[in-house]
Parts: sequence; C-alpha cells; structure tokens
Amino acid sequence: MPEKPSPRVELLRGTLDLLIMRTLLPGPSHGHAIAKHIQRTSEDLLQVETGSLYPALYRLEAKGWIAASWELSDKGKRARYYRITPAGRKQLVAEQSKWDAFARAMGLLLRPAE
Amino acid sequence: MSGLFRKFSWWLQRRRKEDELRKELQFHLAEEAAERHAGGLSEEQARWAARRDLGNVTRLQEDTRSLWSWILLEQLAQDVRYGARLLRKSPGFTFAAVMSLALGIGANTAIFSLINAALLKSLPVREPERLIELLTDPANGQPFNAFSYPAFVHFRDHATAVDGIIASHSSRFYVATDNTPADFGSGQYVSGNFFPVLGVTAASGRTIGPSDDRPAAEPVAVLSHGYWHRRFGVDPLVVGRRLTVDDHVFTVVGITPPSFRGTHVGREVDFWIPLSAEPLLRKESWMPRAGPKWLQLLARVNSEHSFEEARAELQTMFQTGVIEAELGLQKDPKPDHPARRWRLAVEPARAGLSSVRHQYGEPLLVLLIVSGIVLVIACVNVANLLLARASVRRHEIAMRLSLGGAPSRIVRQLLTESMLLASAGAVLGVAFAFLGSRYLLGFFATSRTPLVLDVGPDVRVLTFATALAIATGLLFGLAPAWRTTADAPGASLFGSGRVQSNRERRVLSRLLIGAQVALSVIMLFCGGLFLRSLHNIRSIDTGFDSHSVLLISTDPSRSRLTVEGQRNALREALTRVSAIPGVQAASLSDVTPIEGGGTMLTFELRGTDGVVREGRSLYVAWVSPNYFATMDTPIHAGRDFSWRDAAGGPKVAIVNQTLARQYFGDKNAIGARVGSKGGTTYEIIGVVGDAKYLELRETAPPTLYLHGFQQQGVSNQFAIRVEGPPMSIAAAARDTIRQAAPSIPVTTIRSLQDQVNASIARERMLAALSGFFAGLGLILATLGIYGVMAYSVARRTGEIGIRIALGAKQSQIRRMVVREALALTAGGIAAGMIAALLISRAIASLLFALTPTDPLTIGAVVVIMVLTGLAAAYLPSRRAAQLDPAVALRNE
Repeated sequence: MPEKPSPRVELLRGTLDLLIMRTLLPGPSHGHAIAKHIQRTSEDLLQVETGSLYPALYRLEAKGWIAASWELSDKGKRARYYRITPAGRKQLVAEQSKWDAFARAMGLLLRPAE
Repeated sequence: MSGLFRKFSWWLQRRRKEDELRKELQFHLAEEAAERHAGGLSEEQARWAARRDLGNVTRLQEDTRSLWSWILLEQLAQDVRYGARLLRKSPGFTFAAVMSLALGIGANTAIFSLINAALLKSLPVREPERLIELLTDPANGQPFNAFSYPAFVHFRDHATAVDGIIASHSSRFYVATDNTPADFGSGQYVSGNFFPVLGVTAASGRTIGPSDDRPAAEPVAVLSHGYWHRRFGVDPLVVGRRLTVDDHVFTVVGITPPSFRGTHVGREVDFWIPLSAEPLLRKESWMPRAGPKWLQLLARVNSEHSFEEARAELQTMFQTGVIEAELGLQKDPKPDHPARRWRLAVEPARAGLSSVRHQYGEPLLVLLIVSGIVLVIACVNVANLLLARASVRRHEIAMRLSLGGAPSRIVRQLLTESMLLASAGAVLGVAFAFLGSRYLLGFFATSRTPLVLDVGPDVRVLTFATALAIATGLLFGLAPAWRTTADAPGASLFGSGRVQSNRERRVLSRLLIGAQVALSVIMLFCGGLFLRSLHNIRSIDTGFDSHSVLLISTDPSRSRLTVEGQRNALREALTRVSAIPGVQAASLSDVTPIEGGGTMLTFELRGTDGVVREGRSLYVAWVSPNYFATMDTPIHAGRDFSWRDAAGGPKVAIVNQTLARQYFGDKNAIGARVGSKGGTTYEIIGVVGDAKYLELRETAPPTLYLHGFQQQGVSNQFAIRVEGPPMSIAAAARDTIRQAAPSIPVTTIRSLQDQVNASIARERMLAALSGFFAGLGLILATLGIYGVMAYSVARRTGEIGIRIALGAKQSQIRRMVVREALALTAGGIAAGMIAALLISRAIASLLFALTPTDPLTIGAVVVIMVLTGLAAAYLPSRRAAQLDPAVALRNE
C-alpha cells in the first residue's frame, strides 16, 4: 500500500533544541505552551512529539541553557515554567547562524536556477 | 555548575525530580484535554485524546530519567540483586559452581602467591628497579654470584656508573647472648655501604655504616626484626646489648624494619655484621685472597647512567681488573685457564639475588600450568551447569525477549550472574590459597635448602585472583548466555523448535563433558606417573633402614678442646647416649646417608694375591663401631670396627660389596690392603652390604669405610637407632650429649627418614600436588557427568515413562542411562589418553625407573575414569528406573 503523503514535516534531528530556545526568547513558558507555539507558528507543519519534548527540556536544563521553576499558570494552576539563560542565548545565536548557513546552502543546491 | 555536577545533584534528589516530571506531565495532560474540550470534544473524549497524544509515558519517563541516572550502574545493581536472588533460590547449583571455581581459583592463587613471593616481589628498599646483580658467567654452566674480596674492592673503587657496589656473605655462627645459651644463627657479613646503598634505615637504633666496616673498628651487629622476636623476646632495650658470635663480642646497634629480610629472597638472615669482622671470626681470612669467591655483589645504577652503560663498564672492569689481575697473580698462568672464558653477567635485581629464581622458577611455572588445567576443568563444569540451568530458564528468557528485552541486555544479565559466581568463587578461593600456600611452602621448607618466604596475599596476588575471576566468569558464562538468547522467543514459548535448540545444546554440553573427561585423564595420568615414580624411589633398596633412626649433628670445631679432647668428649657422649633406655644402637660418623655431601678419594688397592689396582673416586666414610648395626646394614664377611682398633691398633677398613666385587672379583677382599700412594695403608677387615651414599637415585657406589676413631679428624654426627618413633628421644639424647660434651654445640637434630625425604622433596611435591590436582579434576568431572546425566534423565522423563508403560524393565532403563554415561566418558578417555601420552614425553625426565607409557598407569587411569562415569550415572539411572509412568506421562 503506497504511503499517504503527509502534510506534516518530520523534525530534523537537533532542531528541536533550537526551536525550544527560540520559543523561550520572548519570555518564560511551560511545556504544553511551547509545543503549541511551535505547532501554531509553523502553521501546523511541525508537530512536536510530547515523547521527545520533555526529555529535550530536561536535557537543555541539564546543560544549563534553560532554567525551570514552578509558577502559577494564567489559569491559576501550578506549572513548570522554563526560561532561557544567558548561556542559552549564546548557544541560540551560534545554532541559529549555523542553521541559517545550512538553510541557505540547501536552498542554493535545490533551486540553483532561481 | 558543570554538567556532571548537576547530574550528580539531580541523581541525589532523583525521587523529587521524578515527582516533578510526573506533575509536569499531569499538567500537560490537563492543558491538552482542556484545549480539546474547548475544541468541541466531550470531556471524556478529550481526556482520552490527550492521553493518546502523549504517547508511551513509561518510555518518556525512562528517556528523561536517563538525565539524572547512571543507567549502566543502576542496571548493574539491579542485575546483581536479581542474580543473587536467583542463586539463593538454587543452593545446590550455587554450591557446586562456587566450590568448583573456588578450588580452581584457589589452586592457582596459591601457586601464584608462591611465585609472587619467590620471584616477583620487589625488595623493600629504595628504588629497587635500579639494583643490578653481578654474576660470573662461566660460559659452560649456570652463572653464579660469587666474587673475591679484591674483585669487590676493584669494582667498588673504580665503577662510575653505579652509586655503590655492596657485598654480602652468609654464614652460620654460634651465637650467645648475655642470658641465653649459645645456639646457631644465620649471620651475614655486609660491606659498610650495604644499608646506605639499599636505603634501608633501622627500625630502632642504627644500621651498619661505612665507619663500622674498617679494620680495628668496634665490632657491631644489626638484628633482623624476626631474630629480635625469636631470640630476644622483643626486648625493648636490646640496642647496646652484647651478642657473642663465635666467642667474639659484638654490640647490638640496631634492628631492621620487619619488611626487610635481606637481599637473598627465601633465605632467613638473623643478624648482620660488618665485613671487617671477617678476619676476626675466620681463622684464615679470605679478604686478602683472590682465590676464594665468597661475596655476593649487588650494585645500584646511578641516575646519570643507563643499565646498559653500567653493564658495559662493569664488564670491562671485570675482564681487565679482575680476571687479568687474578691470572697475573699466578706463577704460571695456563693459557687454557677456565677463568679466561669467564664473563661478567649483569641481571636486574629488583626482586633480590637470582639463585632462588633459578632454582624454583621452572617447577613453580609447571605447577601453575597444572593448576591452570584444573581451573579450565572447573570452568567447563560451571559452563555445563549453566547450560543445564539455561533450559530451565528458557521460558523466562523467551518471555523477556518477546516483551522487548534487548538480547544484549539479557546477555549482560546472565553474565552478571556468572560474574557473581566467579566473585564468590574467588573470595573463597583466596581463602583456600592462603591456607594452601602455607602447605605448599612446607614442601620447600623440608628440602635440603629450606626456603623461607612471606606468602601472605598482597596487592599483586589479589589482582591476580580478581583477573582470574573475571576471566573465568567470561569463559564459562559467555557461551551459555549466548546460547540462551539465540533461541527465537516464539519458538521457545510455544514449544515448537524445542527439539532443534535442545539438540544443539546437548551437543555443546556433551562436547564440554568430553573435554572435561579428557583433561581429567591427562591430569590423572600425569599424577599417576608421578605417584608411581615416587613409589619407585621410596621402594629403592637403600641398603640401610631409615626408620627409627635419629640423627644429631655437632660441631666440635666450635669448642676450644684439642682434637683429642673433642674425640674423647664425643666418645663419652656416645657411650651415655647408647645407655638411654629405648636406644638399640648408636654410632658416630663423619657423614650420614643421603646427606647430600661426602668425600671422594683415590686409593691404591692391593689384593691378597699381591695385584695392585688404582681405585679412582671411591666414596669414603669415617664411621665408629656399631655404625652398621645402627643403619641396619648387613655385614656379609669379616667383622665390624671395634673400640680396640681405636686404641692404637692397626689401621683397618671395611668395604661394601660393590667395591669388593669391582676390585677383588670373586677373591676374598678380607685381608687385602688399601691406602693412599705412599701414605697410610689400611687392612680390609669386613665386607658390608651396598648402601646409597649421596642420592637415592644413584646406584650404590664403591664405598670405603674407615674407622672414625683412627683418623686425623673427628666424627661428629650421632646416629641413634631407637625403638619407636625416633624424635621421641630427641630431647633426652640432646641433653645427654650436652652434659657429656658441654663445650661442643649441637647443630641439627632430625630423623634419618626426614633427611631421606628432604632429598626427594621435588618428587614428593610433584606427586602430592599432581595427585591432589588430579583428584580435584576427577571430582569436578564426576560432578559434570552427573549434572549432564541428571539433566538428560529429567528431559527424557516423558520418553522413559512411555518405555516403562510399554513394559521396559527397570534393569533395561538403568542400562540405557548407564550406557549413555559410558559413551560420554569413553570419548573423553580416548581423546585424553592420546593427549596424555603426547604430554607425558615432556615429563619423562622427571620420572624415576618408569617409562612415560607405563601400562599400569594407563590401565589404572582407564579403570578409574570408567568407574567415575558409572558412579556419576548411578543416581540418575536409579531415578530413571524408578519413574512412575503415570506421573511421568501426566507431566508431559
């Protein structure tokens, strides 16, 4: 049976960290909100698996790029809020320029005529 | 905060972290559900959708948890706990496996600890790796470490590549203290730089220094820690006390640390005195002479020079300064003088002087190989037990595999179990080794040159045991673990495919048993050969009866009596000893049988027919009257020596049968004369039976007995034939001798049997150890065959049940099982016998009066092995024959 073409794109390896940190740049957020933000901003093209989101959050925290604390959500429930650290900002800049270069290279190679 | 530190702190509060994650996920679920509910789903549906969306929570938690846990470590702890629980649940299996391994690892560790003590341990001195030993290489034999004093002085004064050359020489002295009577002690002359160059400082007081090693210096002595304990009862005020060495007074100036036992590993040193005291103690000093080679030399290579540079320099010095100088001293140096071929050899002396290494290195390595085979048998045994167990656990493993357990993870768990077994075996084995190495040392302690070693386990021995444990754990664990997980899980779970995997496993376990039987056969065969060889040596007709004879040696030269006085005192002592109740006969002689030393002289023999023959290399023994009665050597013709001969009678001699036959043929030897050319002649008055002289293995040599009380010297060795055990009168005899001859010290007391045994210490050791190891191998093999047979019967329960139900007799069933066991054994015997016959050629030189293809040994080995197979099959065959068919079939 031929596979149905899916409208969604698989996340590339290593890009989830970048997306999480970019999402946290404007201000602190909790896990669910981070997932929804990525999904919505990418016009539902990117679906963040919960199974990889939380390990990634804890991994980033272990690396010291983001920090977490329990705070009350806008609905008044206790939620774990993540915020980006100065080390995380530095990392984000580095990752972002790497990604930009990669995206440009891909673009040049895949659409040489334009 | 570094990553590792954060990980550790998270690990410390891992419960809180897990709780946090759970709450966070709950919040996530609630948010998602609320969102979906708002999107139009019912509350119930929304909750389920959120739950589905979250996916595999356990997996998620596991992935996240890895951030604050050491997965490998925790899984290991888990495996260890699980493994320990399983092993506790089957105590029989655990006991068999652990004991097998403990015996194997114990045997190896015991032998290794001996090798370690004798060959590997560094001397407890400063930078032992820079020490070198100087040896004279005679080009046609074993290099020896013995140099003259002038040679030592030449090296000491001219060598530049070394920080010092030290000299030592061991000797026995007669030592008295202010409040204990004189007794023998082993002392060592050392050069003044001995302790400073080694870097050994005194535990109390000071050591001997260069200022003590000068002519006319105050005589001082340094005690070893052991001697201080034994002789001075740990007297805290010993420094400053007097030590009378061979009638000369020395002042004790210090005690060495307990770890330092001299540079000659295996030999005990009681005290050290300066080399400059030698002229005081020896009647004619060896110091100015180039002839006597008596000093053992060690040197410390200095930091500016390499080992090679030191060797080159010392070798040049030896050729020019030592050999040439020594030859130059001779009036007419022969061009072919053997010393011209001598070269200096230099060896690392990190572990001390090399003579012990040369003497014991090879036998110890052979024993290590033999004990290695025992360990392999033990491993095979355990592997087999594990294979049998694997069939029991097939369902468990299959279940785990089909539930998604990674095969590698399961192999790891099985290996952990093997490692647990190996560790338990190692711990017990080290305990066995500790006891065993002491027992082993007993063999060396009773040899002619006793070996005193510190065999206590140290880091190296424990490392060896640990390495063995790991290696064995892998060796016996890997194959079963691999076999177990290689089964397809579905097949094992549902019973199909069982036949296939079973057959493979049975072939493997049969091969293992065959190998085990073969190894046992090799060990049994070698052990049998050594035992037979020892028996042959023991049953040699020695020509004397070594039972019930006590030997007491004295050293009359230590007394201040004249030779005449010594002779009279000892004769008086002999008379009194003969009167002790229980003494059947007593005598004095210069040499006792199988002492390992003696005299060889050349004589002229003039027969009663007037024909003169030259008797080259005749063994000579000076003995008193009653010697032959004491030794139970028959007098075939003529008479024994008498005390009347001693009182100025004509000089007399007695010869043994071999001498009489060789030189006088069938003519009567009595009345013939024997004498040195132009010297004293003796009349032959008796012919006695042949007796061994130096060694048990030699044929009795032509021996000439001379009257011990008609000679220049003094016969100093008492031999006393006793009713009952010889040592029972040892104390009484010693005291009697001391009373009759108070100034003559008693040196050693031992039974003649012990002396004979000491001469065959190697044979006794080989026979005892190879016999012991063969027994061990046999027990292990029995266990192995039993295990496989028991498993085979258990597996065939159904089949045997059907046979019985169809009318098979009990005896038929038994025969079937026994036949299987014998088939298993027969293959191993055949393979083992071929290998054993090949190997036995290598040990032919160690055998006495025995060909390595000794048919009796071959027959015995086959019979023992077959009996072993039968014994191992007995219980399983009985169980099979007594199966209740109804029960057996219901089980299936």
